[in-house]
Amino acid sequence: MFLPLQRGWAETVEQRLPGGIVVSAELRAGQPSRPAVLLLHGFLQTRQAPPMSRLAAMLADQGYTVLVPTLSLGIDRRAQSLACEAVHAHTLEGDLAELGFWVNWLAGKGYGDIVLIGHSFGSQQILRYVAQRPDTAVKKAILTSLIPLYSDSAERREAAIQMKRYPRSLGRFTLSYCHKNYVSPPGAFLSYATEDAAAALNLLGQTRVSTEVILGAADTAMEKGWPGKIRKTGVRLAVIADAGHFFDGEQEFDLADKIGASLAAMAAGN
Amino acid sequence: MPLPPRFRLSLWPFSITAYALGFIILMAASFWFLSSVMQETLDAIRSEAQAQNMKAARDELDQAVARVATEIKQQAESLASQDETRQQLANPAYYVYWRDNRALGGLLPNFTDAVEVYNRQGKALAGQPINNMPASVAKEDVGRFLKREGNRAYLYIFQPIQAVENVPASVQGYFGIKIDFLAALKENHWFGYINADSIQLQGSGQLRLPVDQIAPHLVFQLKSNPESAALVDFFFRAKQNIIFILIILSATFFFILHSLLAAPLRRLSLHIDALRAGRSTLLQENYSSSLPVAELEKVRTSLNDYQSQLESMHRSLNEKNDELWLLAHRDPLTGIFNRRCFEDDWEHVLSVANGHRLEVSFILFDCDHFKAINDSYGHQAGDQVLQAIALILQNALRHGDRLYRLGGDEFATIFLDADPALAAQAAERCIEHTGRHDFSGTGVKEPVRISVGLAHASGNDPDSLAILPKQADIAMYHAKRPGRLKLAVFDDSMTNDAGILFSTRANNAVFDAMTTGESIEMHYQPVVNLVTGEVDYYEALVRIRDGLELIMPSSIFPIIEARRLEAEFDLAIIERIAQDLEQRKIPPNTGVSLNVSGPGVINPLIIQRVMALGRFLDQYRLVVEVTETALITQLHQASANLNRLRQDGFKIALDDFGSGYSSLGYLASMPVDIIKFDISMIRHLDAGGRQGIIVENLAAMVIKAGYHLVAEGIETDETLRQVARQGFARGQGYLFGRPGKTCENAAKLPFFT
Repeated sequence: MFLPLQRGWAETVEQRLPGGIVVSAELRAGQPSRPAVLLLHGFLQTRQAPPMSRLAAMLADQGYTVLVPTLSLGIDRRAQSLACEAVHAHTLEGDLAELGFWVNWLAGKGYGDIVLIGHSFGSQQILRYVAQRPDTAVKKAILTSLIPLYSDSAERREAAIQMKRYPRSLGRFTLSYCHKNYVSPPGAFLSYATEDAAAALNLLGQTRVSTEVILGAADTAMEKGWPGKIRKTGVRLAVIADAGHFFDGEQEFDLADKIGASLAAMAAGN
Repeated sequence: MPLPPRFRLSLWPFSITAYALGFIILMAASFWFLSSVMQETLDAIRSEAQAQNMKAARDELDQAVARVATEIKQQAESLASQDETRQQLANPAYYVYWRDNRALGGLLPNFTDAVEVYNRQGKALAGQPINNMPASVAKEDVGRFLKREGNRAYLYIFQPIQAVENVPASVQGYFGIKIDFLAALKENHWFGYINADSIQLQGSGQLRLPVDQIAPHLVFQLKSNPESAALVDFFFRAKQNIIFILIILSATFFFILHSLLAAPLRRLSLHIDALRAGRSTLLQENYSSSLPVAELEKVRTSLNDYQSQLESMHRSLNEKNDELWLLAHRDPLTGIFNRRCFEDDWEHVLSVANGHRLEVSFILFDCDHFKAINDSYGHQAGDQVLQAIALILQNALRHGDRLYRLGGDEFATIFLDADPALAAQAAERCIEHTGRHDFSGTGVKEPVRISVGLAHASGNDPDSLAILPKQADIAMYHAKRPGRLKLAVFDDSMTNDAGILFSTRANNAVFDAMTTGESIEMHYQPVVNLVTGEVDYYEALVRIRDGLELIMPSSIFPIIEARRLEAEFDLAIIERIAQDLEQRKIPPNTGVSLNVSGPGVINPLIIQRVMALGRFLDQYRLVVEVTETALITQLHQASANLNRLRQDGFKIALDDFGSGYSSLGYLASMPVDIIKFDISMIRHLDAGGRQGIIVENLAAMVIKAGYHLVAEGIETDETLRQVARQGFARGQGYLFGRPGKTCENAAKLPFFT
């Protein structure tokens, strides 16, 4: 489906995936001369979750075309964040496919310069995407609050065993902030559980586009020494003082300024 | 309507206790009435409040049903619009898990009975829906309705699941939930008026209701209104407390009224009743404590004062009664017990001894010739004699023996449970003491003697006991007979002699004769001059006419002597002889001799009357005959009186000489002119022998002493010749003539020719 873009106004874009599920995204059309920005929400969230929703508005105000999809997580027209207790049959691969779908969709719209901005696990997903086979239109990746997913190694081993024996069975796992209540088939669980810190650091070294990482200095979800580890990968890292995981408050503007500056530099050819 | 007298007597007037009970009952009835009114008012308030509460409850239920149904609908809508729900339609692989663990595990309230998701065609995703959820739904099922299943009411909500909100065309399936509606009501709504546990769907059987019809089909019970319950409880407690207080107050009031008024008044009443019954002394001891009520205390004090005065009067009366008793039971002259006391005691003795083996002795004392003493020495001397005798007898009797003065000179005493011999000894002791006593102090010169009659009986013989005084009287009669001992003990042989004495007919005749004098007949027996054979004079012999019969002297004089009527009888005879003399029934040139009793000889009146006959001395020879017993007893006075008669021309004849003591010593001192030898002496003379010789010599000696002799009992010529030969001047007997109403001449005997 193609919807005519109208600058400045946010409009919902729905697209039926090959599996039949309809996905949606919010699109704010900007100046064609400027790169299009795709904002990806965090783990189990929607495009409405902070800081993406406000950041989208601010970037749109700056003239950027902003596309903020909501990953379906296997749910037609998903519009609500998904609870840990819900059945999570979705996989990381499915998420990356939807991300690729929306990048392609933007590229198909004629946007030659696409910047992917993720938040939290969305940053991890973008990192995984740009480290594997990003669309050529993707020119830059800005990873805010990049934090790997936490999972229990024993659960991972058990899930691996279960996946072989009872791949359709459901288990309760610990994943990210879902503490022993993430209901999922073992395979689906393991698709996310592998995205640990090592994988993230490894992926940072494998990105095929310009990649920047912005962290909040006061992000309590971040393990100690995490910024240093990122810095060691050679990826540009910006740490916003006093900012939390969601860059609440005035740090929201700092984040917007950082991203705006990064986008501006990109436009300037830096 | 007035009460019948029978009830008035038993019910009226009421007691204080009855009034108190009545007051308490009235108070209880008033309380019951007020309590009933209050209860009725309270019930009305409660009914009105209940009606208002019911209306409020119905409104509350309507609102609650609407609200809860709406909330459940919103929850159903919310869940139906959840991405997770739509996820089941997209990928139903894990639907059952989601339904059981996710939807029913927390997304829906716990009163949710079942959840089911249906696809676009209305077919349940689960092959077997749970809890009676339908396997499929139609479009017309979409909505809400209440359905009764068993005794539960379930709210079914079927909600379309739309891919795009508010776009009906985007319906992807249906979401259905089944709610235990009553549990939802209880859990989701706090009821102010309704007892949530009581809410039920009315009726039975299958029922399906739209939501707006649910409330009217619900029945419930109101919550207990705490204010109303508190008010009722307060009223009930207040009533209980008031009842308790009333009971306490009533009991206290009753106790106080009873203690302070009723009991004292009852005691006062009993006290007054006791006073009336004569038990005041005992009660006064028990009723000395003061009463707590001033007015009652005043009554008690006044009553005690009154009682005290009454007792004083009672004591005074008792003293007076004692005095009266003494006066009534004591002889004022002698100080000993009187006849009334005797009668009381005797009655008591009869009652005590009757039927018991108790020996009773009755001793009767009598002063000999007391009337003569009284007449001779005056009443004062007689009284002194009686006082002296009473004192002598009292001293002679045992200590404690009661001595009674039965009347005149008659005394008596009773010996209980005493040997008859002991009683006889006491009687003899009395006779002896009296005989030894010197009565000169009383002015009486002659010796004073008493005669005693004694009778015994046992209590086992009530008949004899009853006539014991009579027997003693008979014995007394015997004791008084001349020549007898002064003590006589009654025996049955005395009964015949007493027959005359106690013959009612003879007694009546004698008393009639003495009263009227009409029945007295004088029979005259000639006393013949043994020289001439002519009648010298006639002895007047008394008879009493009783119809056709004549009562002879042998029957007359026992009565006269027993009744101490000698003087009176002498007067009657003298009167009769005077009449005969006046009527000249006595032949001229003869005379008449009249018998004067012993008491009569010393009786001045008798002597005076006899002397009055002196007017006939110029025509008749008048002879006064006395017995030697009479002379001996009162010799001094008798001698004086007889001498006066002799001085007036009367001749004195000593009658029945030889029948008594016949003391020659006394004879010499006796002022007599004629001595009449008793018939026993004359018979001795007839018989000859030693006694005949004595009589012959005695007659000779008496003649020689100057006395004229008269021989009594001459019935044969031989006797006549014998007495004539012995010098008797006159003779008397049947040979010369029997006594007759007229003076007959003496029989003409050959002796005198």
